Amino acid sequence: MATAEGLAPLENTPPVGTTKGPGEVPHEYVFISPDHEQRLRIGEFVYYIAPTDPCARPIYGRIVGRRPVRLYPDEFMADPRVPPQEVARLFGYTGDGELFEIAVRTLGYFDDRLRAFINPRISPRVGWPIYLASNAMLSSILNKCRPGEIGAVHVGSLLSRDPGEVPIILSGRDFTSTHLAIIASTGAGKSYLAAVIVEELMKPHNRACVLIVDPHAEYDTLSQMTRHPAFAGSDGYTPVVRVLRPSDLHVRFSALRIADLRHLIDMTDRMEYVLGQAYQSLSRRRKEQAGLDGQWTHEDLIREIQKFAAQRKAEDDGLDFRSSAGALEWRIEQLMRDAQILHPTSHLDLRSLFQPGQCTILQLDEVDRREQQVVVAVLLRRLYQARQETERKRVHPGSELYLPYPAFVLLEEAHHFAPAGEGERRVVSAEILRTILAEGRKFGVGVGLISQRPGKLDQDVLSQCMTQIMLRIVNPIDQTNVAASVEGASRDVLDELPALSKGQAVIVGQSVNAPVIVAVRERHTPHGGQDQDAPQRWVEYSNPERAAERARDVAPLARPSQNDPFAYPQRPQSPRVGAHSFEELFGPDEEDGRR
Amino acid sequence: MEIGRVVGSRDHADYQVQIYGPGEMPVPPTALDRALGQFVSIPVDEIERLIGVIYSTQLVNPEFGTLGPRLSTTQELPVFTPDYLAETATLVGVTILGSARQQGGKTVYDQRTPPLAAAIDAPVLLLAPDEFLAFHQGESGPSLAYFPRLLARPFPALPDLLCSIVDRLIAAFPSDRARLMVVRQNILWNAIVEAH
Repeated sequence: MATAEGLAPLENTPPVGTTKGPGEVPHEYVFISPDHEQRLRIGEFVYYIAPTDPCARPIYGRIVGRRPVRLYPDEFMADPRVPPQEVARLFGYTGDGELFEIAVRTLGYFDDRLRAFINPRISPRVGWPIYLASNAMLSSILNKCRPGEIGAVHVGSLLSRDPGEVPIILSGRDFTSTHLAIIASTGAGKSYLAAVIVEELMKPHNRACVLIVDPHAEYDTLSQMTRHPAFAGSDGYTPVVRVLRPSDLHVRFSALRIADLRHLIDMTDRMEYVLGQAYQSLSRRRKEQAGLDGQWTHEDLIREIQKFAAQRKAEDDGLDFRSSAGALEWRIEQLMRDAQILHPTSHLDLRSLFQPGQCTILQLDEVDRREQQVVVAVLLRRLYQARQETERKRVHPGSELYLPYPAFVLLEEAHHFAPAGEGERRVVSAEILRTILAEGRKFGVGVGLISQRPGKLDQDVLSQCMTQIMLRIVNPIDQTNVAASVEGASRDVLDELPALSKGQAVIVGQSVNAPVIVAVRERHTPHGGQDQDAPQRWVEYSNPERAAERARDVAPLARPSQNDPFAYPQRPQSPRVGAHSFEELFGPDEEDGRR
Repeated sequence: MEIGRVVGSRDHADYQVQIYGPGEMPVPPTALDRALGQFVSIPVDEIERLIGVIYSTQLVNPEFGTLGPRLSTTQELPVFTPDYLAETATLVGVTILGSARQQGGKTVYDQRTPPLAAAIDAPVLLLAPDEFLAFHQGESGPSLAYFPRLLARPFPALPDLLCSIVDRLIAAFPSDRARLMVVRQNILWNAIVEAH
């Protein structure tokens, strides 16, 4: 071991290896270690101290590769019952045998003032000792926040250390303004992690204003936060959780833009022209009359369409749009009858959805995909507009658009709302999402995108999320898309993605000081997104007690039809329950001559 | 039992030993005593002995190839020219594997190359079976620390020599049969399969 002044470890720990030299790329170096205790895992953090640095600052690095340079010969492993060490001992070798070359990507020394790593831009010299970073060091350099601080979001602990030894605390301040993406394959734990983040945001030290767009109705268990002691503040604070079902959701007709209407209604070119003219004319007039709060109903729009068609007929060119107007009228009325969420006048109050200390869960599981997109588009548009207008002091506190605090929106199945490629032009929510991701930070609108198919998510949208959390991704196309979109994800981090287990995540970006691999902490509230256990359900269904219960349930309905044999075939029944066959009830079939 | 004497060496650990012929010892060594794989010891001084193994045999016969006329027949040689008869000899090669040292009333065995060398005419003795075991006894089971050095030697009969040693050890250390078999199979693999 080098004994030069400045090479001593910070915490009196023995070195784990000796520097061999520079690595394959400029900011990498390699060191040699016997690693007896198997501690130098991929993703682990090590450091060295340059003797030339008068401040003796530890220069940290992350292990990105591990290659054996001395192994037992294959022949020593010919018999699985005989360990190679035993064969080596026969020949008088009693050492540990193996040696490893460990590749390290240099992060740099940690600058307390900048709260960031500064790369020294030079490799350590041959022979310099390498030390394993201690838990205390990692806790202070990896996290931007301390536990319990305002903005602290404790998502789990560093995977390479024992659980809880190095807590990983995301900076909520960063990801709620510069956006967040959670990407993983199905079943890797996306919604679990998202719920952990929401739990942290709703704790007394954060009291966030969160809205979750929940197309699969799997976040409603978060409502248990209201009773859980982990969320109770010393000042009496408990979070409010509002779960909104589709029947509670109303989007006022006048909140729809022309693009939304095009998205919801199938139209010919002539109809689009008529609708566009009528819409512009109506919206302009209402704005002139009532400013930003100008409203109209679908009936107003239909009247405007009829008016436009009649005017054009009366004009010199005499073009007749009356049939298109009639078809449009029929379609708009049909839309208002079918669409669950549209309402002529009633509208969701922004301030009832967005409140500090409130988590609103928008369950859209029974809503058609196109309507989901319109709901999200309208909601995000209103939120963004409200924040813009409030920040620019253009609205007064009594206005519908007055929202004097930032908000964070978590969007499940984000690829449905901002799809990649051709789909992007047809989906109304894509444009506002792109706007918010680009400009939202200025007005305090943060978005968290959750997707299982990063390849189907608009790459511009994904690349605007400055904090990325990736769980297991096996699909190589998705891995490539992540690599292309995620700035902070180096190749070595992405190589980890297929190897991650459920509940393990790679976090890169602005909310952490360095890329980390995390074991996600346990939720305080139960998880709502679990898969169905089909075999268990099948066995339960066959249970005699359950069968008897089912028989009891159908009995009162079946009884009146005992004397009415025609009633039986109308009810779907199992052969055991239904006492009569088709022929017993109706006699043989006459038509096919089987009588 | 003494079977011969050192007559020369090729290097520090490789000796030529002349096996005693008829009349040189009361009981001359048999062919088995000088067989390939026999372990021998060569005293260096009162304290230390070298321990080695016979790895080759060479028969020396100056008469072979001499086509000139002889005054005596082969049957008459012991009578008329007994000194000429003594020019034929059986030489064996002995490679040194380690040493045995008297220390505090006990014999300490070592499988490293000994620093001391034998002298010319030093007697060569067969290693007794109990000494063979003691020489190979490691801390936990048999020890073959000299194997890597032996493997580096260019002996034509090396695979068979190694196998014979391992076979004796398998018989002596039955509980270590599994790992000794790994060694034996590797020797055979290298000698038979990789040689092709």
